[in-house]
Amino acid sequence: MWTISPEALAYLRKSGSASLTVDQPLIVDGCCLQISEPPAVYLGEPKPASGKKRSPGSYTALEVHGIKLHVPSHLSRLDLIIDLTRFFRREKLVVEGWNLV
Amino acid sequence: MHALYLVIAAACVLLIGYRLYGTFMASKVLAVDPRIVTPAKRLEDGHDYVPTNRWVVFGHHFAAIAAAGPLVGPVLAAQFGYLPGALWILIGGVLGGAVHDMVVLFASIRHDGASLPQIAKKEIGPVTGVAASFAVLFILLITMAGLSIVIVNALNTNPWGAFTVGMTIPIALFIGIYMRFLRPGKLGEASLIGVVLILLAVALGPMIKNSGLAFFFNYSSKAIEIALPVYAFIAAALPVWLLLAPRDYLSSYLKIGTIGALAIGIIAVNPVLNMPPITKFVNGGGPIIAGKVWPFVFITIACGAMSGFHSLIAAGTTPKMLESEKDIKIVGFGAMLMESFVAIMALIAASVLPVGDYFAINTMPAVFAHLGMHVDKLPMLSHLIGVNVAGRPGGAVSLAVGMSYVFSSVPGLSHLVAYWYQFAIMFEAVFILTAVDAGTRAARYVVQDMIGVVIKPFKKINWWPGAIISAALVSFGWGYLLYGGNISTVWPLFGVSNQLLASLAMVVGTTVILKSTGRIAYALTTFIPFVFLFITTLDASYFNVTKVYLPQHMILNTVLSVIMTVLALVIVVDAVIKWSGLLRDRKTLQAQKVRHQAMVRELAAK
Repeated sequence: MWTISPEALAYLRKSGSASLTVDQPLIVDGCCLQISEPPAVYLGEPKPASGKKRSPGSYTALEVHGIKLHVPSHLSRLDLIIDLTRFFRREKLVVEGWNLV
Repeated sequence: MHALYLVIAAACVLLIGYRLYGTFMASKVLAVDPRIVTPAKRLEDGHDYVPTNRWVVFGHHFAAIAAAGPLVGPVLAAQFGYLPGALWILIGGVLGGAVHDMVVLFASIRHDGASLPQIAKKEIGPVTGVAASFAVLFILLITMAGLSIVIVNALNTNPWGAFTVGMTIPIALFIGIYMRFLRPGKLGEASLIGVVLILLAVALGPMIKNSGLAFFFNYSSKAIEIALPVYAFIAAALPVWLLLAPRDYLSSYLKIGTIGALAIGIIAVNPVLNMPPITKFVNGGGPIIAGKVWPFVFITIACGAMSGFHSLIAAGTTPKMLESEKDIKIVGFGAMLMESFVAIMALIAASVLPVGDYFAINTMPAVFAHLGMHVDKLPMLSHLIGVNVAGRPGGAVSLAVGMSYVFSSVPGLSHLVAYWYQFAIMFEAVFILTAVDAGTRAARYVVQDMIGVVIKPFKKINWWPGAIISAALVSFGWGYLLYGGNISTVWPLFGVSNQLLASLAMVVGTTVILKSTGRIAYALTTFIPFVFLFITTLDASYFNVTKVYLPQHMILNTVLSVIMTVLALVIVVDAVIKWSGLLRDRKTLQAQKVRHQAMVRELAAK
């Protein structure tokens, strides 16, 4: 089940955004090793690739702590957390609980 | 002997092996059932689980397993003569490697695309699952060092090569930005632009080499040994789409073209194999690999014969893509045999070199001086290439020289020797840097997860102090191995760890087959290769520790060797306990045997 951490919720309230999207993860074959890093998170509705339509069913909309969370459908049943990370003063929403390999 | 005889013999063995043994494994032992709905269809989600045409899956799987390994190992093993390596590639490939890949792929499909440690945990026990996870981490670290040392010896004091390889970084960054923002989704177009830019970088090399800019690309071995872990530390912190993914696409395109060109070149030119079938170094004392042909040819050549790394791919994304179980044979068994063919090509490319030239390239000058050999064409080749290629052990240079030798024998291409050489170096370096980046990322995550058990904030993958510390630990770890070692100390360690992983995968395979068929005879198809490889690897590890690492006070190498051995023994003991339990339960075994036989008959009747 997807959850949003208190820090991430505070960030969303501050930004005034009521919806969030988790991007599609990328899988890379790096010479006998396949890795898929945590997908990016951005505010707002899912953005299809430029010039392409979003294929139906590719995203699932979830309601989490009053926020509309769009996640790739194949990830919708995973136990992952939207969290807030800080690098000095720069804040960023990220996915935690992800298995890389 | 002309190379074409070996090519034809290899092709025949591999084709017959696929047709007979591959069919036996698929239809009798595994009893692949096209009626079973694969996880790709059952769990289809448009992203991870995607039913895909078998030839696309074949291409994807082959591209993932065949990278630098089948090119470097056979070249180093040519030290023993071409015959030991050729026999191991062909026999080991059919009876070991292809079986290994196919059985792991089958097991993963039957476990809904689970990874090897997950399958191990389920089929054998949690101890094995944990041990396998630790083993994978150590293998990653050792692999980074093993592959990096190949680049160090290829690029030191080679401004052209360093420039070309260095340029692949901004080219990959550009392609990443191109695909993300400028022309999203245009993979073919972006890759084509990337390949053209890379070829341009190769072509511009002579200009850089002969200009004042050469100073900025003329690095010593030690400088490169420091630069590579630093590169990996930085690259592993960048988003995947920016550097790693585009580098991956570029290397796939380069690989298909280059390997295809090499095969065509060897068949067209039909060069003479100057390396004898057997050299005096089969008895040990070799300048590249110190040990005897047994066990070291089996450790030096992993990819191309039998490689534990393939189990990470066979239980990775491939099982989530197969439309039908009947595709397991062509993808699991067939792709491995194709890689064996690539390995034979690499062995030939090294063996066409005059013997003295081969050893002059793969040993330091001070060592070569005591071998009682003389160089033949090397001074001329070094002059044509514009780089002194002597004293550059690691496999990449001798492969590049061999490839240049083959390509330059094609009418009309002889004046391009230098370009062929630098292109071959760059081609291998692209794979290796991709592996180094991916491996450092993966290892960083594993290390962070492990430290997180004790220091809770590390569990958060995106907590930047934890990410930086973990990445630094990983980069420093393999960097230390690289800085303090050479091809003769690092590659055998990599070979041992890789083959231990292969042994562990065969342990899992034996358990799966015993449980599903109830027949000991069928379980022997994985058990025998496991026993052979395990004993061979343990012997090699013992030699490494007692004759190479301890005398040179290489403590980290020793510790890693011992840890890997202990982990492997833990898993084997755990598996033997499991097998004993299975074999004691004769009633269940017999029932399963009857069920399996009935299924085989039913499938054969269709």
